[in-house]
Amino acid sequence: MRTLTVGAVLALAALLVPDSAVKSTEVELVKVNRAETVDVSPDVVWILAVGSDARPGEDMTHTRGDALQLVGMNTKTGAATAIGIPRDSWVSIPGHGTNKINAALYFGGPQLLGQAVGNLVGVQPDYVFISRFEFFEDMIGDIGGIDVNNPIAFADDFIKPKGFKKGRLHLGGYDALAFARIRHDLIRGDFDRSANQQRVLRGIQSTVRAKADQPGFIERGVFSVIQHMHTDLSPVELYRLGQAVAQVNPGKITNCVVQGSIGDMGGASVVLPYVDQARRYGDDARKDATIKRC
Amino acid sequence: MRQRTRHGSWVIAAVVVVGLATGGCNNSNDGGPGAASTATSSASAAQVVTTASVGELAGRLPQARRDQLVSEVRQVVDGWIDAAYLSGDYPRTDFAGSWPGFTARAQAKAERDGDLMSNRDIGASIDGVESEKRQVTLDVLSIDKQPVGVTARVVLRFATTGDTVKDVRVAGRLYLTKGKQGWQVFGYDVSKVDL
Repeated sequence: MRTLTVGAVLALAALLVPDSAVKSTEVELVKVNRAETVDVSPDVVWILAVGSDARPGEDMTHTRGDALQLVGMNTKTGAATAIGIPRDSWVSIPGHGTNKINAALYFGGPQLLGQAVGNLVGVQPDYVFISRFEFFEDMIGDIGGIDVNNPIAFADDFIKPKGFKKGRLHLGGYDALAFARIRHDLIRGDFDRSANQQRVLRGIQSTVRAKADQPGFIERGVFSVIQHMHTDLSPVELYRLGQAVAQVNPGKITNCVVQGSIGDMGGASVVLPYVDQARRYGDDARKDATIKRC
Repeated sequence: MRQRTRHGSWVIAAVVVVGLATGGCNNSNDGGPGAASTATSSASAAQVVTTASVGELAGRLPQARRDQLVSEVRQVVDGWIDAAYLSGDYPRTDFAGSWPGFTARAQAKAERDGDLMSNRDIGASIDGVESEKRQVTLDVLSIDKQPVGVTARVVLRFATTGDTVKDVRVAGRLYLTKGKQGWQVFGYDVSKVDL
């Protein structure tokens, strides 16, 4: 498993391309045959996307992950899937007994976190991407914001007092981060928040795909990522990954969140994840990055 | 081959792609002598030569290196254009080897997309091809003054003769990185339209 710290690849899901109204007197439509592909090895790339709650000055590779999404991307078919992991999931952490899964980042850095998530789902990530809040906000701003479909209104007295309305929303950097972080007002807490994180990922990928046509968009994006991260990947590998993200087909994206029961461990509220379900997701998506049903 | 005609928005998007590629020819942000450098392609004397230039550049790249890059990538693109569309004895049914500058996987996929990524769809019913426009614009990612990734925006227009007479435009993007074998196409997003 390779490890790097970056934000821009929190982007492997998508929204449907919006329908366009066409006036026949103004636009001529022609039938267009189109083909596309990206050669990235392996065919199915697994990336653990981590949102770190590191504050300025903290080493974000040794804090606690605030958002955990295991993302698979099939570069042959354009399919992608995101498996959301509640951050409070109580699991075995190799060499450190049992603890909340996001503590693995604190104990052993990205490698150990990747291992812990990989053991839960049964799919080991090829890459671990970690982003901190500031860069995440900047990245959303750089791409001009994102659109999400919000199924239910919610708010947070501190982060977003005015809240988010139900429906289709356009979010800038701060709002996208708030949308992905808030959980207290959500009926199902961490599970709903994980689903919201997947909505943000969809929005990012959708924007990236839509703007990939713009001359130099991918090149500027990858350049920005390289400027802001530490990585053992070569620029060539990053460039190929960036192009692969843009090739994900919005119609071939599936998202699921690992469910669980709420427990108490030494006074701390934790999620006892349904391991069988997590493994089923992993087994289902391992070879083709597609989950048939949640 | 996939045909993206399920949503009107896709068609619009494709038209926009073509528009961007066409309009991008003057979009060089360097304005230097690397822009609009030209060379004769390997096609016959009657064929149009390829114009190639740097479009958008992320990072820094010295002018001499830009010129070299344009030349190297143009050769790869020309290799594909000639082998897949313009060269060969028509009527023609054999399009194997039409993607000489592609990675093995990209080559295999292009072969499956052969009706778009070559003239396999019309090769048997034409007796000649004449190019009308060949244009390549490079969007470049450069790290430490070395080019590491390129999107080549390609526009090719040609006319066919024989049983099938028509003008065809091939346009889209090729994605290239440099390996031991030089610049190679590892991905593409290409459309082919009858004009």
